[in-house]
Amino acid sequence: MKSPTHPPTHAQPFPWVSVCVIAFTLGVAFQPALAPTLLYERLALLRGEYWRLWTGHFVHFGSSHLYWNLAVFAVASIWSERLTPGRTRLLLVVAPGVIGLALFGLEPALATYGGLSGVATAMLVFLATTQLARLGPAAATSDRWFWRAVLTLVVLKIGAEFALQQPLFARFAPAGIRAVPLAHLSGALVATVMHRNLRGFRPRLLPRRRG
Amino acid sequence: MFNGFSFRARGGLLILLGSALLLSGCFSTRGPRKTERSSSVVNYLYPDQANPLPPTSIPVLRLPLRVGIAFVPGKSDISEQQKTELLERVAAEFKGRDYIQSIELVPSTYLRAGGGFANLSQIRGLLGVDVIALVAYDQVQFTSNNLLSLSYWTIVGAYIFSGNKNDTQTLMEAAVYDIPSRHLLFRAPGASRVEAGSAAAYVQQRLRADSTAGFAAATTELIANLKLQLESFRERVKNAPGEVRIEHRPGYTGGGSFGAGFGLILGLLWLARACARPRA
Repeated sequence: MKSPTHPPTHAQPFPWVSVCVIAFTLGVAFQPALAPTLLYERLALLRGEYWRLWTGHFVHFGSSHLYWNLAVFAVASIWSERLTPGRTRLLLVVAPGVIGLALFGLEPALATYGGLSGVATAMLVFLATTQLARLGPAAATSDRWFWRAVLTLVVLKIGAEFALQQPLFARFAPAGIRAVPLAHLSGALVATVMHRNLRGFRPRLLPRRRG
Repeated sequence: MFNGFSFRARGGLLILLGSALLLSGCFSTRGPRKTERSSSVVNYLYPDQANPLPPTSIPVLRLPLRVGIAFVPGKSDISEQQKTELLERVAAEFKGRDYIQSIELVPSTYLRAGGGFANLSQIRGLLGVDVIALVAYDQVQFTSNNLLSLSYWTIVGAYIFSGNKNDTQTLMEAAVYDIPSRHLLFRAPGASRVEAGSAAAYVQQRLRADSTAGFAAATTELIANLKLQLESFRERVKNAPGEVRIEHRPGYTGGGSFGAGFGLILGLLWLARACARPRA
């Protein structure tokens, strides 16, 4: 029996935006001199260094922090970009900025922020909601169950982080760094909005689907 | 008694006997001796106050905390090097916690006897700490003689036989205070007992070694108890938020992170999905 999901009828595109983001994140990790210029810093943002709203997500506070964020991001983003390249690429451009703006507007006490987890949460939620929407009535129960469980896990993680005011699954190597669940929440929200409102979005640069 | 000896021989024997008595006196066959060194948090914080007033304001802890740790001044003080080593051990156990930003070892020269909260406020201004762990100690050393001490009369025995029995009892206590509100947040004790024997010639040397060992063992117990009390304090803060207010310091550093646990759960979900999928 074939998989009940409907595979795209055209060749899946190469996920170059995801690969570029991964390469950039690794590049920043291996060139720590870049971090002070790219990190989300509230005072620098107030001075007009607005690129930090986007670039702060690519700076990490240690190898464990980097690898797990990158692992989740890589799987979710590459998979998602191969399924729906247009919307995923748009999300990859929009999500870091929206999350950065949310942190700037709603978390004034946050002086410095780094980490890809907000964007990774956005990609994971986007992938899960996209997969649930794609599954036809004949889809295997295990597939529905799996993507619903992923969404539930993300929601529980964010809820627990808000309640406990500490990261649920991770520990930061440097002392004094707090988890910012608002980044995860805003990532999940921007992904949901993108999924619900831009289903028909298809940039002109992408080849038309056939069939 | 000396009838068989010449006058000169008799004189020589008397001098020898006298010298032996004199020397053995140096190696002490007196009763038990006691040495005491101690310091007190109460004497430091509330000098000349019989009934100190309880603090009225609710402590506000701004996370991550900047913590100081210091020995309160005492009498017959232990060396600064020894204090630093003990404090470093305590500090090392609590560094790296996400709610502790830094732990400063406060040198003894910054604390004056009976300095009280005025002195702590100075330290707060100088080192930027909000919470301080004040470590006090009470160490008593007893030395008494046993049967082997009779060999001290031979002079050589005072170097060979362990005729002294040493007993070192140490009690340490750490009291953690919020400096601005003057509240005692929690406290933890640590105790030890070291017993050892020594020859009269090495009593002081042995007592110094026992003192160091006593402080080291008491510090180990103090650290374990501090960890327990810290966890208990955290529970208390969660269950009774009115007792202590927790705020986050403006300008904190934040990060978003997944972590191994999340990855593991995702992996398990994926495996469960793969196993549950109908096979072709």
